[in-house]
Amino acid sequence: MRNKIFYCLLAAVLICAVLAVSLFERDPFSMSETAMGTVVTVKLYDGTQTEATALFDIFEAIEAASSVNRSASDAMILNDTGSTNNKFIYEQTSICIDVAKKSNGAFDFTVGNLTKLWNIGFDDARVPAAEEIAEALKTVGYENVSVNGGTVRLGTGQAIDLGAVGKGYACDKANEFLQNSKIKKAVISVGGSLLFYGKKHGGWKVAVRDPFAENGIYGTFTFDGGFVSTSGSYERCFEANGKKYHHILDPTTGYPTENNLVSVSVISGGGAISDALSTACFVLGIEKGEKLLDEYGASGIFIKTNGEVFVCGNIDFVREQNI
Amino acid sequence: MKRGDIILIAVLLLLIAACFITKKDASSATIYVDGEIYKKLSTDEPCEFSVNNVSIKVENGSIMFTDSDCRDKKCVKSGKLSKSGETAACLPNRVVIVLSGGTQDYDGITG
Repeated sequence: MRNKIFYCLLAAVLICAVLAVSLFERDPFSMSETAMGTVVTVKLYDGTQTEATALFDIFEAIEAASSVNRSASDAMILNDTGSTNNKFIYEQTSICIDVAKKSNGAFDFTVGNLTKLWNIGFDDARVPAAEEIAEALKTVGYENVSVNGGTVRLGTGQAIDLGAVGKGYACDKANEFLQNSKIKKAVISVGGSLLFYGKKHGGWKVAVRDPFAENGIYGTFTFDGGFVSTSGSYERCFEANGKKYHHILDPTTGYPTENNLVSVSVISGGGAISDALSTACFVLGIEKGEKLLDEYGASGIFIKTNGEVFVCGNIDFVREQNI
Repeated sequence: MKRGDIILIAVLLLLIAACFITKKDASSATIYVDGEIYKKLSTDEPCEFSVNNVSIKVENGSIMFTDSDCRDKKCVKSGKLSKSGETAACLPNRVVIVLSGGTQDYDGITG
């Protein structure tokens, strides 16, 4: 009898020990750096410095090609000469055209001349004259861009700005890298665009930044993994003549989008797509945005200026006040 | 049950308890400069230092940028960080603060 009790207890203790070890995984290898105009963090649960460095090399290559703030980038060459064969630009442009078409131009990456006029996020940001905006608007139109056989060609005077997809595209490329590595689980965060790679016990818990409070969390959701991106009017903005101007321009008016939204987060199976969709949905508003997300099988969290939240798709968003 | 058995069970229980306790360390901060780890420190030990034209202060379990020579001062405006997983950066000076350790409430933050 005594022996029985002893063995039962021992078995219980061992089961507890195994559970404790399986529940608490090893701390991931983590590395952060400034890249792509933001903070990039890679968290590799079973990786090392070698893989992290390789990932940062990929991000640097994407930035070197895509940035319109680097004079010798392929994107700038495209804007100057009207064509490029760069693979990164080609892939991003192809995704942009698709989202531009399906959003009826609410998302348009040919706003390069407009964004340069406003230059929001830089020291010389300003409100351009109405004539300047009208002039720049003439060059906006994704329909005039062609992608064929690896070559991107712009229409006359057009300029692209891949700022709305670059961070998500970096997540796509990180995903490709991870699929070809031995790493089974990772979180890649390029500013507000994230990739949750692999399966995690209990799912990945994602926090959505509070648009109304610095360093605050508005709520969280848990999902099985994939890509998440957010566009918010609180991110990059400037004040002039007592008015606040944010960076999400409406490609039809040339001015920052004015509606009842302050932030849109999109969850989908692609990084660049999530990025483009979050911008498109911000411009479109909730009703049309929801239809667009439906077309892509994506989910969204819309936060309104009055603080209300609208969730579409299969997302268990929970408001949490005291994280 | 023999005395030895009780000791064995007690030792196993202690080991499991240790497993839980070591996971609840106080938050620690990692400072990255130019993409390299510059310093790892505990946010429970107050200190102040400057690196790459920014000043950083640790007090009362939190860490913050107190000064920078950059123009927009977004780093200073990002305020105090105290929760695991929070980050702040001075992009022009390439200095990043990442908080870790303790119990992290989430795996990533979007926005």
